[in-house]
Amino acid sequence: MHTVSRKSERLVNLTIALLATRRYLTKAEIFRTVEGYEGTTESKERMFERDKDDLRGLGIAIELGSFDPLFEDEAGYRITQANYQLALGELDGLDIGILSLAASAWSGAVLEKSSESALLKIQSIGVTPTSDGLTSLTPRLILTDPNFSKVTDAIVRRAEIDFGYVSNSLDVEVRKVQPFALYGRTGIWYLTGLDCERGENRTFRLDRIHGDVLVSKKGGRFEAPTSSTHPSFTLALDNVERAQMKIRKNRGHQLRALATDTELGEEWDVIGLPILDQSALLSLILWHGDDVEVLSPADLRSSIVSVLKEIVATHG
Amino acid sequence: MVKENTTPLDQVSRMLDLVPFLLTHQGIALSELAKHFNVSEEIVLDDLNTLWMCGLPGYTPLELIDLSFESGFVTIRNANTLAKVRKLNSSEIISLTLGLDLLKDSQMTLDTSIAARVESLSDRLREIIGASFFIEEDGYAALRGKIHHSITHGLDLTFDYFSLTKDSRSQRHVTPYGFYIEDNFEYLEAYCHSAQAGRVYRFDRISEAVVGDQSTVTAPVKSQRSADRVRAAIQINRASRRNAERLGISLVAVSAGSEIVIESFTPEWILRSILAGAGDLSLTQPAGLIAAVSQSARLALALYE
Repeated sequence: MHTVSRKSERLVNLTIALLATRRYLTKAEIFRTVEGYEGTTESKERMFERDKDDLRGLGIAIELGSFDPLFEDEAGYRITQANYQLALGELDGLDIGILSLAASAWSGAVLEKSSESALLKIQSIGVTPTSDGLTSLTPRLILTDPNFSKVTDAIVRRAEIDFGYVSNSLDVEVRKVQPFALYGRTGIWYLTGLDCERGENRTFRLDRIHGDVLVSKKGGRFEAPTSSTHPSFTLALDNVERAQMKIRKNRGHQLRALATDTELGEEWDVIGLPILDQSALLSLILWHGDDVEVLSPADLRSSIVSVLKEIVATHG
Repeated sequence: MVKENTTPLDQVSRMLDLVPFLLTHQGIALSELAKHFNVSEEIVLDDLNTLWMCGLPGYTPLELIDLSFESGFVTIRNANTLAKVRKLNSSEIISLTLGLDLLKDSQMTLDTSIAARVESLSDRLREIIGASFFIEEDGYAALRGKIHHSITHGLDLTFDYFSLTKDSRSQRHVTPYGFYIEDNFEYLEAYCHSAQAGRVYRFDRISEAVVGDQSTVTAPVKSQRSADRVRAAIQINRASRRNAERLGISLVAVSAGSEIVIESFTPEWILRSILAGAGDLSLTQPAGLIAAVSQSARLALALYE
């Protein structure tokens, strides 16, 4: 317990000393004045290197520079307040109330600890939160996948990741990806990035990742694209093959939702829609049984017929 | 007793955050301080005892942080260097940013000044972290607002409801009493006036919701799902991710040739799932449902002959 205190004491003292100084402190000055650096010069150096890494790990950036660039004096260290302190601008009671509500969304979910420590820092500003005008509706994020934090860490550090991904045929394929973005859409999380082996940008569903994501220790490996603000890659709808089908009146609502044109009839309507994923469409058509008849294209029509024959054969 | 959070780095992090917190919460009870920092009182005491030894080089009483906590209430002095609140780390920023995205969806019915605040906070955080993390608006903000309004004011709600299994739409007249999220879907719990029983409704299948001006007072009735579940045995002919996800089975536990057992409230859902399986699935139990699958496939086939 004592060694634990000694180390944390030294780190806090180092932080205070480097924050308080206006000029750069040389290593020699640090060893002489900051409490906790003991032993041979070599062991002090080792201690200091580790301390710098530890503080950096806590998000505290130590600046290296020299007091006077005209003279070749020894480089020194300092922490500027601008790099250290919270910079969210003015926050009033309502802002704090809103941020508190936002943080509470993670209750029981994967970033719960981070949201709590964020809230603690914001409460330290010393402004009393108000909730005037806010509803009592608390948003909830139901997210417990431990890969979430690994992927966010990799995106922030620009580190490559490796993971097993469940394919259409349920095989687990190993993917190596430079991750750019992570976003949620109707409760499902998507990861976009450069698939290193395929050399193309791809989108992956987080819930289709099998096992743990491995994050490379080396950061700063790539630049994320900045051109598009929306990292999900949109598909061009021109030149996509289209399907036409008859749909019984008041039936086939899921297919109708995809239709780009509809021709109303007596007992049947005819709709047209783009074929974005042939096998998904085939499956959706089959779901609707005898409420749908495919008119074109011919290969989709014949696929339906052969699948139906197979189902009849296997079910007597 | 909490024994976690005792690595030196966790302690450093906590101590640096303790100072600005104490400066704005002078005289806080030790027990409350521990609760705020989510650690035991023993750990906070250790933090304070350590912090007490810290200060500016020189380390005389003039330079050391001055803390008093013997009374069980904590005050702090002489800690100007660490007075500023530390900046948020990336996980903290991501947690707030995504929380705000959700808030936009749930607070839409509010006045525009709140929406503008949320937007401005969100912009400030995204300036630091970039645009790599976000939650798309789900489009249910208005619905959520209506449900919230009808619950708090005891008003009825009418809407069109789409039944996926029956492939039909019908109008429902309900008295809402709650909503919840399960398996990534959001549900409304309500008393259904035509069924005269509690029911659950999935948000993404509700449309044209209108809050009535009438309040029908009913005691909350827990939703009653029919007790009769249908058990079915399914043979996997070809492994397919789509079918595994539809049936809610583990993605990699299934291999071609294996058989699984599922349960459902509606036989029609099983029947349609087998058809949509496009030959990758065959039903092996129960016999009555197998005949129904065959019959449906024949009827569909008849359209093409």
